[in-house]
Amino acid sequence: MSRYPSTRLEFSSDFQGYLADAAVRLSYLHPALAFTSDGTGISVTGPDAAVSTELLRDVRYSVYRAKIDTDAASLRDAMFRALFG
Amino acid sequence: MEVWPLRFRAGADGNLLFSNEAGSWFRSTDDFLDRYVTGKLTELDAELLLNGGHSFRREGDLHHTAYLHRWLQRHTVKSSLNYVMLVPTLRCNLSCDYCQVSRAAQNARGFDWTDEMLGNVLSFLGGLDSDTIKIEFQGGEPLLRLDHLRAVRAFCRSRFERSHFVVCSNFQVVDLEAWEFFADEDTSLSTSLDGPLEFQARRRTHNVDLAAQCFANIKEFVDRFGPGRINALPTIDIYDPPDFAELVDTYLQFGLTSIYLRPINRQGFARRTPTRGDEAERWAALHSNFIDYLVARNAEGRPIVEEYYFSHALRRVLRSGETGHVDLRNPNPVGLDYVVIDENGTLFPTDEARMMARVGQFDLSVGHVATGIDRSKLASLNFVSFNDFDPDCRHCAYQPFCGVDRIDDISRYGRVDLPRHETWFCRRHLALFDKLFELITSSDAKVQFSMAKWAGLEAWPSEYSRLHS
Repeated sequence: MSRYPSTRLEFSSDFQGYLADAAVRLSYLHPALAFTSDGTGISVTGPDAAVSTELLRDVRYSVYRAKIDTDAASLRDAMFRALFG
Repeated sequence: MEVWPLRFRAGADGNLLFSNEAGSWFRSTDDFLDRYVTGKLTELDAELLLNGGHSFRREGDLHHTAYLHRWLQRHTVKSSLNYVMLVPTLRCNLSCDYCQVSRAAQNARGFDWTDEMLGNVLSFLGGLDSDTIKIEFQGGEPLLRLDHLRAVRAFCRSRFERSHFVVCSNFQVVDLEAWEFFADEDTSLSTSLDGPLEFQARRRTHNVDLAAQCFANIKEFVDRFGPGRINALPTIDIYDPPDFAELVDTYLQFGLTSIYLRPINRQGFARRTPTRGDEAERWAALHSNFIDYLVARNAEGRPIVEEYYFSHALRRVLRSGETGHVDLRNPNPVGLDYVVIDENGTLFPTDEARMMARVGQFDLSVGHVATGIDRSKLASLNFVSFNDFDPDCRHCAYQPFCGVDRIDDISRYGRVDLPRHETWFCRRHLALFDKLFELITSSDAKVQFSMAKWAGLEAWPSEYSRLHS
């Protein structure tokens, strides 16, 4: 994979705690590409043709999804407590 | 204000569908998504989320309680066993190429319930907690053992407050006694109808005269009892589908306006036909085209025709509590409200599980009619009967409307932990819900006309096509 160029997406501090989770999920959603998080961004490594605008949008969405899911954990726990005691 | 977690999915038009776990949804933009994830919602955003059932002000307020109620309604399935599929015989008088049902030749011996087995079945039914019962007679061809069908029906009528019986028959040979059996209003017919006469002959009977006999029997059933007590299903080969117009015309000639398109399930004996790997994509395209065809046809003012599964998925989007169909629900616990009793008395969670055991693939039996259900086996299977906690589904905008089918996963892949997007179930349903929301949010009058009819509404709500920006 290293013979291919990397594209890096930078994320603001709001999202930096969720990058590692997002990179793991992206790795199995797109097994032909490599995703690495370095604390402030995610790098995508793969053939140029594969790193499309849509893929970079998916990277951003994956980070958003990781944040939404993690941030909602306490709300979801409270819901289960309210419903099931 | 607290916002319940939102899932989102991009549509073909670049806008996003947002939904929550209780099944409320709206369409909006990438800009809204950015505002939501960065906590910079506008007053209009906040108003939309509160009024749309996506947020609450205080735990226990009306918005909070309503959300919990909707979540529970979407997750509640009946906990009493009240739907039992029975297989009184494995013998059949046809030999369809893609039949997944285990069957034996019509004159074979040793493939029917014995009197002892019939007694065990009746004892099992008698021990159920439910006040109501639905019995589905499968086979083989169940009409070959009308005596067993009569015995079960008579027992259930005396044991349960309400009972309903469905005979799943190829309806090839129907004698006087069978007609008399169907005369009672608590008994209905489920049969296969793949397309026009020649098509049915090519796919099932291999003989036009036999297919004509089947068609004549279906017509006589409708003439005698009306179209309300017959359910006909086409099994679709995606590499050789029927012409849509001819298929619909065939159904309408019998007064049937609901068509449940089902792809060949290459399980059980149908596994002998090899798969090609592009089934999910082909099926999605075929099904989408069929829906478009129905929309165009319905707009011409002819009898309104629906595709049953599409309408069912639509109802699951629009309403809570549509949890009675085991093909599409979450949670989907097996052996709780539905069980299959095979010809030899073995209990299975689904008919597909029965097929897997019959071909020696996996043994997912959950007990025996003489000894009852093995609760520990059921618990093992039901450990994965939710989609809420799946690492993929929990991010999916369609999760609250979708379902789970672990028996299908095991049957196709031998495991239940594949990434969802690699499974037939997920790929089929992603395409289904993409199509569904394309039509739900359409402002095309023809689309709205059919959607309103399929949903049982006077008119299609205009707010469904609104985009929050």
